[in-house]
Amino acid sequence: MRNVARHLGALPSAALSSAAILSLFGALLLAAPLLAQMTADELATLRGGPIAETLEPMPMPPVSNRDVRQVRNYPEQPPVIPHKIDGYQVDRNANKCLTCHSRTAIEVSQAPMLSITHFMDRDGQSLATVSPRRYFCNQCHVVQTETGPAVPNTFVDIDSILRQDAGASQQQ
Amino acid sequence: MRISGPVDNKQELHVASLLVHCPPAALAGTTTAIAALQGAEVHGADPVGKLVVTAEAENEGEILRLIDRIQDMEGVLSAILVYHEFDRSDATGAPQKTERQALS
Amino acid sequence: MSISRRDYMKAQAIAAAAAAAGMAVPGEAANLVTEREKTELVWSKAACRFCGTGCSVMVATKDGQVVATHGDVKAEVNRGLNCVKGYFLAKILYGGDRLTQPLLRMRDGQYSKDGDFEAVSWERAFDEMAAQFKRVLKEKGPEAVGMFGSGQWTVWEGYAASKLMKAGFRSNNIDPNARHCMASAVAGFIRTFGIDEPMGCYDDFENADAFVLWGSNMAEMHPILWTRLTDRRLSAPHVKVAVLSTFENRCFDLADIPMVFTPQSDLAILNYIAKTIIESGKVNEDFVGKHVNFARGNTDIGYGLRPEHPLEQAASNAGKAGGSTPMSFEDYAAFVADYDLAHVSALSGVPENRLEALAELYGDPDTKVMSLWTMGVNQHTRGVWVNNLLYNIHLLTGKISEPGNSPFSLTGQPSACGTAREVGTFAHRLPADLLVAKEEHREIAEAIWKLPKGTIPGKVGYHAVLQNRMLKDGKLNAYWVQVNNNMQAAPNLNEEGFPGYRNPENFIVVSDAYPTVTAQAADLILPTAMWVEKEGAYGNAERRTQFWHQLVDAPGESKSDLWQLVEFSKRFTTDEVWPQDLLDANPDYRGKTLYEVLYANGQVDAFPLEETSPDYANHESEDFGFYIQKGLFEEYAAFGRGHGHDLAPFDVYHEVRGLRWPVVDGQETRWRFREGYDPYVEPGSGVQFYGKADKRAVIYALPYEPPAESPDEEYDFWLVTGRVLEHWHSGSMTQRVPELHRAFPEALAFMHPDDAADKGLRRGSKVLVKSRRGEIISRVETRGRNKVPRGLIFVPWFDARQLINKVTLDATDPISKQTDFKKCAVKLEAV
Repeated sequence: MRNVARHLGALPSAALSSAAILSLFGALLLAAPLLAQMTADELATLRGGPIAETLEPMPMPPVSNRDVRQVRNYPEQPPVIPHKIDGYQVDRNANKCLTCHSRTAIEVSQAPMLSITHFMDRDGQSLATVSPRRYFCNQCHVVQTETGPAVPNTFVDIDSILRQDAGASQQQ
Repeated sequence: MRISGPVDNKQELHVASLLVHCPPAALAGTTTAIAALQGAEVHGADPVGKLVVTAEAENEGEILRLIDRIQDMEGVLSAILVYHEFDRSDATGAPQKTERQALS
Repeated sequence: MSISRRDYMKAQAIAAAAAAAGMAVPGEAANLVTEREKTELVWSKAACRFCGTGCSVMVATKDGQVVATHGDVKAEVNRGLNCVKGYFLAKILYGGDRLTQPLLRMRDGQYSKDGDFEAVSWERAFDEMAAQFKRVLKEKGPEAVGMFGSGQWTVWEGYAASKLMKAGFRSNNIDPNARHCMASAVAGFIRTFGIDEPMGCYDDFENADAFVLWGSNMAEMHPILWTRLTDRRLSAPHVKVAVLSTFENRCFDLADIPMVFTPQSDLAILNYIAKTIIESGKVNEDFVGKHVNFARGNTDIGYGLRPEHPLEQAASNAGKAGGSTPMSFEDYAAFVADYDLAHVSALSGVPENRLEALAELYGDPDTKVMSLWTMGVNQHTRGVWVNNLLYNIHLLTGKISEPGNSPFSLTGQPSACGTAREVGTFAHRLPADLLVAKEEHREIAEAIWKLPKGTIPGKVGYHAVLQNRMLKDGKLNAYWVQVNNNMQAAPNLNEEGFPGYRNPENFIVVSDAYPTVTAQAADLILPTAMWVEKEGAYGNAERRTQFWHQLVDAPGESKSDLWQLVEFSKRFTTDEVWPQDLLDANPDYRGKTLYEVLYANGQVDAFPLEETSPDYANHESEDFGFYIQKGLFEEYAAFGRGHGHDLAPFDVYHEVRGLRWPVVDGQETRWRFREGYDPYVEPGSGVQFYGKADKRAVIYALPYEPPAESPDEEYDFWLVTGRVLEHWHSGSMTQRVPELHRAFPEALAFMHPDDAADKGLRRGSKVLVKSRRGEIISRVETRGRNKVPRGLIFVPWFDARQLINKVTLDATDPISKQTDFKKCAVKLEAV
């Protein structure tokens, strides 16, 4: 017997949450090769062929240049770079990234300002300018090419888990 | 199975929301019936006899079919489409085009 | 379609309908969850799974899953930073093709070498494995079984493996993949100092006035250390950075003195620097007089190829590669005098003024210099020599063992130090730098292990490259591979590795979390737990040992390497695997399983389950009934305490962000061999290189000798292999993280644009990369992060579809037995 809430409170949902969908997907992926006999030449998923063969390389996918922000897996993840960076000079003489992403440039560029964490030194104190320990952007921020994942990843983010938990607790 | 290389297949996702009216006594039964439909979810209720329902589908036709089925349910007085948005994207998950209609 | 896009659309839809209904938005549609009970995450510390920098991370779990990680602000190493790989640690456990059941090659319900893989139970897996190992031990003896382990084993995994092999099966055929990365550095340390591992620490970064990188692409391979170096360089204007490499890489973005040199000529450059220091009067004579001896190293030592190879036949000292004779300082000065500026500039291709600037930097007594090197130096047929020559310079000038003055050998893997080197999981070693070849060392181990005298064999076992050769020759027949992807990593795949694994006489077992090409070549695959799915410990490049608890469960039936090793030992008795004479002399050891004598020996099982943390699971301890990690660690620590390798008590490491050994009276040691910093240095002596009997380090006279295979008429290009920032090693973890895969999806052949044009190739063209041994097809890259000189290409080895080690040569440094992955000859063709 389900309770009808006064005004708030969702009624229990029978639909699968996105987290559950993803784990089911993952489970299906695992089940398929394991329950059946596996031809050895297909085992190494990232290779997809016999070891002795010379395989054709994949085409070189272009770097994504859509300037569309991507969902982050968790707040701490450095955002991926949604545009090309060919020829962007980042060396001891100049940092091209900062011409759009620095605090003073963002009004013109409308690019996201680099996070406040990038102004802190090793002891956590804020500096006047970007901390040198954050200078080489590409150590943390990478472009994405226009290609799918090599293998699906069943990572579930915290929001999905909280939603799953909320759904589950309401079913009790 | 390796998914790689530039891809071409576009997927659509349609999301719509409905305001469903039914007699207060039928709230529980209607909720169960709607929740059992593929693609439909009930998100909230007002005891006076209103339900907030979402519908998800891969194309517009399915959305309309869902609405029809809900309207045909015993106990449902009316099901009104309030909001409809669809997204088209390739396999990288980057949206290419979004259309949105809020109907009031 | 990403999940959150859908959720976003739904939230909008619900809000619209609720508004139309005059209702408050239902709770589930609200996009803000604030209840602390729900949003509180459990954060625990762990060491990063990747490189030898050894960053510490904080890992958040919820409902048995890892949901986030971030750089640990409390850790000295990284103070809150990670590199891009570290920032995606939360996803490495979740590749969709994770192995969850043992897989055995079968045909008609039986094991069959050419069968297809079928899922079996752990019982069945161990039944087959034990039967095969017993058969081989009976038919051919301990020299026919072997193990290939890892610098990514946890400390206790390596220790348990070492015991199982050396004392259980009585075979020294256990070697780690660290043989491919650090063996030359280790031999360099032992030859020069008599004891392994750097004398400095990462604090040197904040104290140096100059940095010199030798064959080390720190910007991509030790990124967090690069940030510390960058921080120092950009904060203090007088600081200079010199970078030496065989091609321009990202480190050149910061270089004040950039140098691209001809492969192998690093030997000549180092001798030139020594010569200049001597001739310009910059020798620290006081230091040299008190703390240094000189020796002339044997030359013409071959290339570690198969003995019948003409190069080996021609080498006069192939059998005495590591030998040397004492010499005087004057003779040493005369030796290096040959390496004059013009000659070395011509040989190396480095302009004279750059060489002079470098020598001046080293010679200036007021400039504190930190030298840093990794694979360009170690993966080198004269890698030990290069290590020795680097120390020569720091010893001549006395620039060593003090803040900022630091010859720092960077370690590649997260625990090549902590596990492979310190635990001694090598064919010739025991823990704490002891050697199997020395009877008194074996007796120390036997005493600590409570085993009869004569248990541990004295004959050095097969090292990495030799293991593959012996597999191919059918001399090594039962083989267990853990925590590495050696089919992809080892050189000369076509001629040695692949035929070795597929040799019908051999039974190959591979423990891994994911189906790699090594698993594909195996006969039995064991699904293995990863990283924070087990309680673990790693030791990083600055001698810092770091611990973590088990935070989540491994999927399916996966078990940790430790569990597998210890559980497997239960299948053997001493009667089955020890020789009669040993048992006759020690009848108390009859009728016992290897588990009983190695692990339930009163020491490894000394700590009860109650001592495990109440906050974390510990499946291995639960299975075996005692705190096994603590027992293994404390038994292992007995080797080093009091002998310069002191580790703190086990429990301390779970509390702190690691400690740098030797840890004496609770105090870690930052600089070794110098009084005031190192408790082992006698007061009043200033500096003591106590690894040597007379407490003096050794400067070696070592010449330039050419590589094993250089470009010629037909194979006219140098091939250099290496890594890229986004992928760790063979990519088995990072390629399964979509963001990292998309950042660098396939291997590329970095080529000079003029070379490409000459061959009718353009960026993106397919190119056949072919050597005398094998070929791959890659795609040309003429731009990007690496700018190679003409006549050279660079190909990374993370791509399972482009097995570049089909092309490489299995030539090694004859002293260290480490493969030279940076030099062989290839030809390039459009396809």
